[in-house]
Amino acid sequence: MPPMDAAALLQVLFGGLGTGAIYGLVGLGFSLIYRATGAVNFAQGEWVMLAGMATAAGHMAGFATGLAGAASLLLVVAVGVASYLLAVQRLRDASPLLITMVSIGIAIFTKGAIMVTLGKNPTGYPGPLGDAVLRIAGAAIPAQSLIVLAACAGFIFALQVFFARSRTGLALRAAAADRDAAALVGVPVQRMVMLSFGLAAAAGAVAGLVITPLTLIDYNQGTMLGFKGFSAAMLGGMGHPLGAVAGGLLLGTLEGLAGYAISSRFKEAVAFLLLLAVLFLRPSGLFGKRKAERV
Amino acid sequence: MLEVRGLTAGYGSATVLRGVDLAVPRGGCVCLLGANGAGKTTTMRALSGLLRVRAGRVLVEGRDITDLPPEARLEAGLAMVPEGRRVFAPLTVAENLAIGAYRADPAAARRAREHVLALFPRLAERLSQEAGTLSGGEQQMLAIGRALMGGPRILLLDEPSMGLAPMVVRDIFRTIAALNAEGLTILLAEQNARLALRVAQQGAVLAEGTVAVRGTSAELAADEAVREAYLGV
Repeated sequence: MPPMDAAALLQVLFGGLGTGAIYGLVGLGFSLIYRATGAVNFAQGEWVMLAGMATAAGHMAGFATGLAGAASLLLVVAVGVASYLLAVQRLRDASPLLITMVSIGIAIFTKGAIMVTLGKNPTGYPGPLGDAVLRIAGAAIPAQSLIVLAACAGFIFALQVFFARSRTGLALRAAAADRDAAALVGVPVQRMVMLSFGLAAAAGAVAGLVITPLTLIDYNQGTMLGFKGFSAAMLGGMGHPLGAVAGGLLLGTLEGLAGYAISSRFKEAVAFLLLLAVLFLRPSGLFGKRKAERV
Repeated sequence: MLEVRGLTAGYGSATVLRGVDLAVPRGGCVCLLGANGAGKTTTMRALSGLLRVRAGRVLVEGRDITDLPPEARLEAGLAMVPEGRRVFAPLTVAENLAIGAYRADPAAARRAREHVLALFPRLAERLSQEAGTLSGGEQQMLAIGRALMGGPRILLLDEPSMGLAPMVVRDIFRTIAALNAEGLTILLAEQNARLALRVAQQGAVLAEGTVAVRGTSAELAADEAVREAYLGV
């Protein structure tokens, strides 16, 4: 173990929070779709990868990165909505298990399609601040990791405002809480499920857009990001969007610390161990409430 | 006002309703009685549009709504308070009421809100509380209030007494009678026949998926078979 060094520790914490914010966004996507359908969407991580890959392709083709990023965001949201149409709407009354199965198919297809069209090589693009590095108390922190944190915080804040203040956000929460009761007051429940897929895809896309300048991306990385996001959502309590964010931050920070204190090879195992521990000790997640029994 | 002809419905291969006929006159209150599993809830679900009808017709003011989804039935003036209350537990009382007016225009929603809060002052005290933390009686008030927010002309109530203490049930039924007196047309499915017959002017008894007995509340309360089977005397 290296000697404890405040600057290095700060650097590790910052890195961990950045990664954690990404896990949190991906986990948020899992939670949104789980809440709307009861299914686990295994394509969630591929949407992160798709956003990064598509933006990199646009950047290589000579488009402005901002424009390529915006177009990729729209593309991923369109893919999310298309997944809803395929997995949920085409199969009437599909069970959560069936939707989960279809999502695995969509994930494998997305991965394959990207590999065939954009190749196997890692790719990327510079972020808006380039390779700038900030020196904070001796720690070297890439400026892009601040953008990661800001983008995640901004997306989550906007989503919370949407849920709390808008008529559609209220309807979406009502539909998630009780479909039949929501239908009885006139909420178009299926459209709310579609919206959940769109929002989940947007969460994944934002994650992909901001992480790619930092780590590069290839066709194969979505799967691991999806797994980490799933762990974050389980940690926070599935179906509890803010819990997923907290779970992600916790997971990312612990991974960073484990990499620093033990070995970077041990980093990946932290997610698995943490997930197992939570499943044993608190199956409803750290922040998940046990569902109240209805009489 | 509400007319049901030959309603047939069920789940999967099970047919629950085999030709139910009902009529609720404008401003009237009709109760639907019957043992557990006789098809009361299935009837209510079919009338509200949650369950697809296999055969038969449902008419509101002469208009055929049989094939309409729940949201279109609201526009025809039909609202339902589902069995087991089904309030949106993570939403606040105020939000539950607001979503009840999802399809109403803002001015009508404001008026409906005032009406509901006057009807249930308890809800006014708990506007910012999560609905899941309310007592059963308060949840029932909220479920009724939510249905009233859309300004219905016909209210379907499915087992409003379910799981509630007798005192609370009496309050709820007093409110149902008051709503009916204001001119709201009501169809009330209820296990508690004694209370239901007191509020309703007419009743129908479901057995084996069809209406076995029907009549005025006084006739049903006096009917030997009904007394024995549903009033426990």
